[in-house]
Amino acid sequence: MTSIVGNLLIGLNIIWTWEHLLAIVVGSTLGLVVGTIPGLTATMAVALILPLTFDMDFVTSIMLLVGAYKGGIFGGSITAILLNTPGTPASAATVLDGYTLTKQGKGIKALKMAKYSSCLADFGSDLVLIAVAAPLASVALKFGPPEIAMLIMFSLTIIAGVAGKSILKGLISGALGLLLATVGLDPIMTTRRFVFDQADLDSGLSLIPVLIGLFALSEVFLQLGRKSKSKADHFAIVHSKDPADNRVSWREFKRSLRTILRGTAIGTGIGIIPGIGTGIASFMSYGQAKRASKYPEKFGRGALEGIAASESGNSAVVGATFIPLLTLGIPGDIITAVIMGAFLIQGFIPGPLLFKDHADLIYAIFVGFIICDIVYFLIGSVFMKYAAYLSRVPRRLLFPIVFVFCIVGSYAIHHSVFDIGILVAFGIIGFYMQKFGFATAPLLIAFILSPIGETAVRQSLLMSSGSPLIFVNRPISLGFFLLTLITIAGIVRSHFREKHQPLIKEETK
Amino acid sequence: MNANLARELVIAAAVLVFALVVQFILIPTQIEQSVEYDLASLSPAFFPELAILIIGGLSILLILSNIRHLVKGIPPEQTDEVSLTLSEELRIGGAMAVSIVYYLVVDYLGFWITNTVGVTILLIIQDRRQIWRQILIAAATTLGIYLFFFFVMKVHFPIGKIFK
Repeated sequence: MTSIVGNLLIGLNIIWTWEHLLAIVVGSTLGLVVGTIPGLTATMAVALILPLTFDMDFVTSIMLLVGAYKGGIFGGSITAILLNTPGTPASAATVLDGYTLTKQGKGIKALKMAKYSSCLADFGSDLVLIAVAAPLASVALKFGPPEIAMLIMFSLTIIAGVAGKSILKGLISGALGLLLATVGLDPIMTTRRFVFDQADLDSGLSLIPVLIGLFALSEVFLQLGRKSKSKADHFAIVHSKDPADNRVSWREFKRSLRTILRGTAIGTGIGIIPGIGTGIASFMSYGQAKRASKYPEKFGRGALEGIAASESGNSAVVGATFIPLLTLGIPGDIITAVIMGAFLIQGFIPGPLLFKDHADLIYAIFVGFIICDIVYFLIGSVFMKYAAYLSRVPRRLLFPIVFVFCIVGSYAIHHSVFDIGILVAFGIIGFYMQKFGFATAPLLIAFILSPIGETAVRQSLLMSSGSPLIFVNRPISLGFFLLTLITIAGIVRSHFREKHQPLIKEETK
Repeated sequence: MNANLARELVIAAAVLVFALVVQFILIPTQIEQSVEYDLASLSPAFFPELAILIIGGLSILLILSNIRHLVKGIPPEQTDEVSLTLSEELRIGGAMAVSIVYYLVVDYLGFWITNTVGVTILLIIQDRRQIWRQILIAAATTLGIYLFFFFVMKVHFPIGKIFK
């Protein structure tokens, strides 16, 4: 405990510079702006900001991205409440009660409740991150190649299994990510693979164009195809004449506190498991709050508790998703996968060694997380008044500009036109994957994890002279192997249940 | 046959064909195998083959699952597919064509011309009115982005081979 406090003080000393604080303010503002605009997601915000961080120092770049992540998730709730359109998928459950309250003239009250619950849950989740990351990392330091190989297999199973409605398509997407990551020089023998005599491909497919292509350009294509609904997208914050409708009273807040704490626990738990994400946490927290409420019939009809549940659920995921990233080197969700790219670009490999070699920087980031919560609470208060103007940005102007940002962002890393080609290719691949029902998240996460996995698998097999039994002979790797089997069984079982539920219901009728 | 089911079968078959092409054409020709490897795990083809084995196996499962749906006469599994109208598809096709041409010509024509023309076409795809206004917006966007990235981020954009 003393060492954590000591490290936090060292971290505070590092983060307390105007560059770092400015990065947090700019990141949070950009996140709020992007999250508020329907059609632009928090993932897109982080992916597009990433190329701007190349020249920054490590802590500044991570704080800019974390600010955008946190701000983006909260920004999504503003349009959910005022416009009936979740700015990000994480805020889908907020629509249920938020928009109803807006129709009743209580939009400001709903926004304030969303802000309080988001910031509190985010803060709670950050505290859990600070408390458990270092001890977990010290356990992870004992991992050898077989343990790492099995851990990666476990993570890929979870990620592929929960991404999208079709398990098979999710798994195919993940396996495609494994394959694409093998382009370039082989990590053990440095043999050229799938380079087609292109020297540009020797170092593999660049991560930034791949991720901007999959998550930003593919979305730009989709949005460019759709005609903008000019007037329907506008909203205005209507202040009620009754002051009680424009604030959250202490009584109302106290009544929702239990829901916020429950949502924080659910969101944090879900965030620790790689791949599940904010959307599910939000709905799960909402469902639990409804079940536990004395007035479940009020949910969906403008219950403040509903907003508290949904917003605390999705915001608590944010801090927790960094637990697997910082302790095991596994991204907790797609946005942390993008932030993992920033770590790699800066020359830092996320994982337990970071705590050993750069504990000061990691604790500086932890303190930055807390400062982020305070900053976006303050900015959010001002921002809510002007959010209406953002929704008026015409889509026909917005997406061509985002298109240029995608191109320039990909080009800027290596000043390479070839990277623009990779971006365009992955933009098209990402679009068609979405069109045919293949989730793109497993592809990117597998693409990032594959080099670590491949090296670990091949080193393990070298250690055992080719015997795969090495993966089950050691207790920790056996544990991960069993967890993988249990997870696969669980996913198949829940999928089977889901598929047969309607048939069973019909038969019962 | 249900149209969705037919589409799902075609998608699954395409994935299987992709796996076969990689396994039997790309891996033998695109992975140098100059050394004899004692262990399969040492071969640089080990991991790509493993990935292809997974993709191939899963595509067969996808085909079998769709055939089962076909035989039993039940609709295909619900997926997250995006449905688009023909005009939306055409606009998206246009945007994709713009990005491919952008990549192919930016080295020759440079950032200024390629970007201004590219953004103008994207704006026109969205709205065909006031073309001069669209050109002005595209030029202003290009200038703004150039100034920001050149002076703040120190990014040097391609000038264009034809101007050298």
